[in-house]
Amino acid sequence: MLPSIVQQHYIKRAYNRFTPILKNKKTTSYFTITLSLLSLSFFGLFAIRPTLITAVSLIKSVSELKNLNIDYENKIGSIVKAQSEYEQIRDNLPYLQSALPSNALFHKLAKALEIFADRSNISLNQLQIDSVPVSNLPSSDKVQKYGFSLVANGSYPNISSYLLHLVNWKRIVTIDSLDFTQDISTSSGNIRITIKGNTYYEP
Amino acid sequence: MNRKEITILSIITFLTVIAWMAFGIYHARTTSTVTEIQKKQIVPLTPTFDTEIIRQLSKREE
Repeated sequence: MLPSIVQQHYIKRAYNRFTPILKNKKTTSYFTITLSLLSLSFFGLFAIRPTLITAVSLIKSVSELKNLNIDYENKIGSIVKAQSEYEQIRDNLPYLQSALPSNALFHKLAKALEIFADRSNISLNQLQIDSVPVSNLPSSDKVQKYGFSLVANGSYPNISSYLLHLVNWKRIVTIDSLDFTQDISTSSGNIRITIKGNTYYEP
Repeated sequence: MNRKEITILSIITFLTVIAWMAFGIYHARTTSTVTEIQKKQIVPLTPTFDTEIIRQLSKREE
């Protein structure tokens, strides 16, 4: 009962206060425009803006998730296909492991260079391998390389055979430089060869 | 403050709110919801192996 009387009192007071002002037509127009703009601003800020932002975000999310779903489907298809192809080449994987081992395996390089020298009947005088990490490196998609250099002497056909062995070796080896000099220490007509090369691994 | 000034002030307020709304909507439209992990996961994968290389490797010396 009491609040109703108070409300009526306030409404009457406001009416009495605004009635003389609103009698002027121009003032009424200004009052209406101002009140409309302020109410639009208020609702725009606190109701329309959050609603529109939420709607736009949801529409964008739906569109992105649809595209993401298509991409995932394609990826799954690719993985299934890759798996079946992997099964087909599974027996050949040791070849890849030999070509590009997962760690430096410098001792195998040294051993192979010696074996090839033995097979080709040349004498290996000096072999130097760049410093490489002995422990296993953390997995990365980057191919690492290290260099080696060797000095050997032998006849030209034997050296040629040695080089053939080297370039036909399963492990990937690239030769940076070859230096042939006549071996003047002996009268056998042997050639002294200096090879500088690189070999690779992928941790 | 006369009635004209109040109306101008309300117009400026209204325009500011409209601009704010427009910026908010533009921001919501341009901000991607796909995470970096998801972007990494959807990188295309080539499901073929170069069998010719493997064949060549198999012919190489041990």
